[in-house]
Amino acid sequence: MNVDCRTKGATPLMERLQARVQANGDPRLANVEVRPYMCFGGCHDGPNVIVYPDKIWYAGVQKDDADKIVDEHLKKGEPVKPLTGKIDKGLEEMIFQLLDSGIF
Amino acid sequence: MLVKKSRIQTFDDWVDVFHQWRDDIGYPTELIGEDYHFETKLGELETEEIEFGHFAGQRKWEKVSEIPDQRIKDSLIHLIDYQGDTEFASVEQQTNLLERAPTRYDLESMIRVNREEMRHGWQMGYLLVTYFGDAGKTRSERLLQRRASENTRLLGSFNEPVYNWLDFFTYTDFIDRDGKYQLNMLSRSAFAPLARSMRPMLQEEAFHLLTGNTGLMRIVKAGRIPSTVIQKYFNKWISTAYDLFGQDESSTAYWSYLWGVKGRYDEHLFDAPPDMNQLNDVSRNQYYKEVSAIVDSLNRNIKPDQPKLKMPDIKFHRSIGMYAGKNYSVTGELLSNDDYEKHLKEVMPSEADVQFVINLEKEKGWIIDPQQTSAPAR
Repeated sequence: MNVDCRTKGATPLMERLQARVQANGDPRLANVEVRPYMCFGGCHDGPNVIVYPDKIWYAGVQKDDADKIVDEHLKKGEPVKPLTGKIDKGLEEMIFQLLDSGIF
Repeated sequence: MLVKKSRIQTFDDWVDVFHQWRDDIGYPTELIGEDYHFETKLGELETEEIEFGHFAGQRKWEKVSEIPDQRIKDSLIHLIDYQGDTEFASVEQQTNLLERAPTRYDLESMIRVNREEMRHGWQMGYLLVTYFGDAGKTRSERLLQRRASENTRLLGSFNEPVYNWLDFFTYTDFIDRDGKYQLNMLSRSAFAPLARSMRPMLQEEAFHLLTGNTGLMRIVKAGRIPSTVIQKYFNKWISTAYDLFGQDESSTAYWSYLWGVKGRYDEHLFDAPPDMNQLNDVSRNQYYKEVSAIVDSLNRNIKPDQPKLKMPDIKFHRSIGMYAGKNYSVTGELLSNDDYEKHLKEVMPSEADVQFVINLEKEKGWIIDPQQTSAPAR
């Protein structure tokens, strides 16, 4: 994670996501890994969370949103819509393509 | 008295000059795409109130006639002029690379970067012509008259040559990253049309940073360009980026803040008032940390037999501020004139380094092609 997103709360968000995914014991989370990324380019809307391979981009995410992402998206497969749709589509496509390619 | 009037009286006039500029610099207009239309974009304000400075709490100015002091109007013209200058300059600097794109993906990325930089310049032209009378019209025309190739752009980075794609990726990762700071600092301006212009520009700028960052990562992972050569390009561009944040104890930054026209980076996250004499340095230091983290992430992918990449010292090769014209080395030691001249030849890209990259561009495999790699295991 870079400086920009850390100043906007990325560190406690990451800690909360990791704690929820690791400690839950829910089989639906067994194959979920929480990874930090240096930059998705969406600085103005950070912190950003991408759920891959679902290709859902959450922007402006705060620590309190972590539970919703885990409980609604990761467990039930229902994206948290209020946190989506903030990022330029072209940037989204570029990042998803790079994630697909394994360069990231 | 004879007064030479600007040929620009309306924004339509300015658009005509914009098209002439594109022809004049030889930009292949057909690459921009028929579906793409240059347009002015205005986003929402997060608040209608001036957020910092002497006028904090008052309503943001929608029209120039609401601005209480001529010096503030002059300051705004200056800020918009400089921002617009960088946008057009970057296109001039990069146009020569279009024919040598390493992949289709990179060609499309560069076209997108270029047309969005043109749109950002368009946006600044719109503000100057629409709001700032004869002075704005004259300045809007000059945006399209200066040339990077003639060393007449307003800031050092924007007169530097971009010879090859390593230049381009370093530029978009590190020089456009300064642009992110500048746009962010203007996004809470007391002048509402300027503030409204910034969010769409910031969203588009994000793509440029990513193009640079992932381009460098693809080069580093491919491992064909020695890190010693990449380091020289970092020395070239990052040192000029330090200058883009301005003087160390800047009266321009002081007044811009006091008048509420340009804030700190992420102004809304600060609880305390700034040290008014250190405004530029605070931003520069944050930029240094941000770029350092990017360099660290690139280093995790450098081949084991290659030296790690480093940040050039903040005193190195400066043209603005207290270190301007001083002989500091890339690691921050003060050198004699002779030693410094010798040092520059060692740490900045030489003609041989430039040609080495240009020659390598003709081969395959010097940069990873994202369309030829396979998806990772899930």
